[in-house]
Amino acid sequence: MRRVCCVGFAALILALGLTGCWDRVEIEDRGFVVGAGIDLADEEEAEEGQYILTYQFVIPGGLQAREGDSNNGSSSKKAYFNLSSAANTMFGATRKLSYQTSRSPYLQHLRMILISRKLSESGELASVLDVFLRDHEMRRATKIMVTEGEAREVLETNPKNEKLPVMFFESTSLNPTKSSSIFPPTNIGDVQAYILSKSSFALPIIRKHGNEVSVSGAALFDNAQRLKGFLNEEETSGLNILRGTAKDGVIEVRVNDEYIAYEIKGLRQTIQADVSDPEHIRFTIHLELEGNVGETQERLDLLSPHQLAELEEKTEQKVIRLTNGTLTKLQQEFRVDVLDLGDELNRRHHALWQSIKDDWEQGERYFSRCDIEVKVRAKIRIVGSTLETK
Amino acid sequence: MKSFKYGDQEIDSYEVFASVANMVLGFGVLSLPRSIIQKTNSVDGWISILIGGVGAIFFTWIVAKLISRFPKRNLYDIGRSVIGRPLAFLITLMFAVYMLAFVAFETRGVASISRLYLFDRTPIEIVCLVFLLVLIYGVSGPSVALFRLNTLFLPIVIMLIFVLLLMNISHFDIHNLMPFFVTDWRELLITSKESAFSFLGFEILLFYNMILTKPKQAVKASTLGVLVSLVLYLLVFFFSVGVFGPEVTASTLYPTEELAKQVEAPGGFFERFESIFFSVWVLTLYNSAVMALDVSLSAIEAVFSKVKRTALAIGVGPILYLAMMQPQNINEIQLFGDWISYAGIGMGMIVPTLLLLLSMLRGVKGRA
Repeated sequence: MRRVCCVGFAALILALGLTGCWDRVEIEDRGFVVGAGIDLADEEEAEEGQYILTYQFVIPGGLQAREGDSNNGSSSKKAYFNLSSAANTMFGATRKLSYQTSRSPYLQHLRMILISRKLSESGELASVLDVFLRDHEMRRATKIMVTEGEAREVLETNPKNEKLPVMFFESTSLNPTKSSSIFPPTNIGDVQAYILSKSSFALPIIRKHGNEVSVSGAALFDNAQRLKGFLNEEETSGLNILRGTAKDGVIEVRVNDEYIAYEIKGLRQTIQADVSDPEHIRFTIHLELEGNVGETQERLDLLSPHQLAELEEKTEQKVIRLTNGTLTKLQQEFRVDVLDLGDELNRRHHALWQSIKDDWEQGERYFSRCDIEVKVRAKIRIVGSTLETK
Repeated sequence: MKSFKYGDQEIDSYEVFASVANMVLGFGVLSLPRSIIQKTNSVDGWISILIGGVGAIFFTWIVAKLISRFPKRNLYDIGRSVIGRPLAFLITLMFAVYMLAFVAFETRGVASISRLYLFDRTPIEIVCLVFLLVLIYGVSGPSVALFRLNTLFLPIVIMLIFVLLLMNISHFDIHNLMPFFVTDWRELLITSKESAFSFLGFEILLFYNMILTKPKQAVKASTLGVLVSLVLYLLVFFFSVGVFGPEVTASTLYPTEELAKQVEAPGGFFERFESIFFSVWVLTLYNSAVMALDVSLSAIEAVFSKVKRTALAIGVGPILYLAMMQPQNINEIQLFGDWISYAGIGMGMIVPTLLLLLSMLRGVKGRA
């Protein structure tokens, strides 16, 4: 009898451990955050804190709404809502946001962080990103973009073909596979690597004009994470080609007063560095382009080897012009090495790099003084299915 | 409670292999890439891991040589015949204390890392308590059961690491591995000490000698076990650096866990690989902790032959619990780990070497 009592008592005690899970949060109670925007507070808001954090929450019901419903005007349900709060830390701002919503913010599904231009210029990028790397809910694949205006305004758009603005931005930013003038998406893990290795980097830019949002260009940051300036579409295209990331894209080449479109289908980039004179380092960037003739407005005999060779040469000249424009901006105007040439030196000429790395962009400014030669080889593989259209 | 009786109470070379591998692969693999690269600052740290691993294999060989000289004897018996009863008594007790501290450290590690990645609100005390109760349950039965558990888990754990690495291949950037051969060799030698800590665990053989069927084969099996861990450590190291780059690896607390978090299968429906990774990882941690506890109980039993195992297991429970609750933060846990590592070098490397040398000098041999 005593034995039975003992066992029964033990079982009762153990049952206490089965009553539930401490960390249980029902899925209905979670406010899924897909996007975040960070702005610098202006003067009147500055009392509450120096940063304004905006989260984009998903309304699951809105996601399920049929296409037809939205045509009925009033019944159209938004699939998202944005909330902002000001605080001195991102963590504090997140906690404050939970006063404003019935579902507390849940950040595992955060896809994108938008940083406003003003904030980027203040050089506080690393401090606002800290929580997004430190907290266990965060993933390193979250993408980062710079907004030209206020980040919270960009989050407040109604894309035509997507339910969620953030999803719209994300798929637009993935279009570098079709266009070379969008800087490829950079995730927070990469940014951390740049910050820790004290190198300059570039981020894609997102702009809002009226109700439309576009992603194009590149924002350049120096090695203190301060925004130095924007590259326009053409310069970004040059940057992407120089970095070898433009695996796809279009180059418009002028041939006899008309244009042809050269469609990039493949790009191989190799860098050679000649460091025999550290005062004057010479880089040679070899670019091997492969592509098709996507469009021609001029009557050209595309089957003639001679004609093709001429087109290839014109394309090469165009690429050299494009990349030289970018190089001048990078070396003379912004003085940031977003081509990772310093990294290349670190890899291949480690000892030299150790001695000059502090004078690379600052001080002696070796980067601005080094000689960068671009050598292009463009090949045309396919000319399309029609020979002549006019 | 009547515990299950196994038909055979002995273990074979495969079981030795699996258990040594599991014992060595413990908590270390989660933070090893960071602790190495913090010191070397470049990918050259792999040389340190290699040196540490080769050193560990050498000492495993010594331990295995020692026990094959004394078949069916444990550390206490060996010590008694080589250096006499009082010293053997002392060494065995020290060994027991070392193993208990190891259990406490491992349990605390499980609790704090699961607090960081899995349960935000569950108190560490509760996680530790639950883990400890399962540990005590594990050691209440015969040791052979634990070996069977190891043979069962090891393939799962190895497979999991390979899945983890495969899923990260797309993030791997070969540029991150350069420059190499830029670190001073003295630096590499000093850092290898760091990795040697991660290879401790083979010393359990000193007590499992009792149930080995063929002690001669233990040499091969146990060195293979350490070799497997060495290969896995190197792979994980190269992947952490290749995926994150040296700077980020050096500033990430648990780079391996972060690798798991990084995994994203196309389509977006499979994002939480780290929960699977961690759940399986707890299996390895449980295995090494439970074997360490079992060894320490065996050591106590060897000295005080009259105690009953179940009573002993329940008796050390509260002491263990108090020990694992002592460190207050991550620094103190790390300090605790360092002490245990030094103790491990003494118990797993120096003591067996001395015993082997002395026994060879005096020509002492055990009879089967």
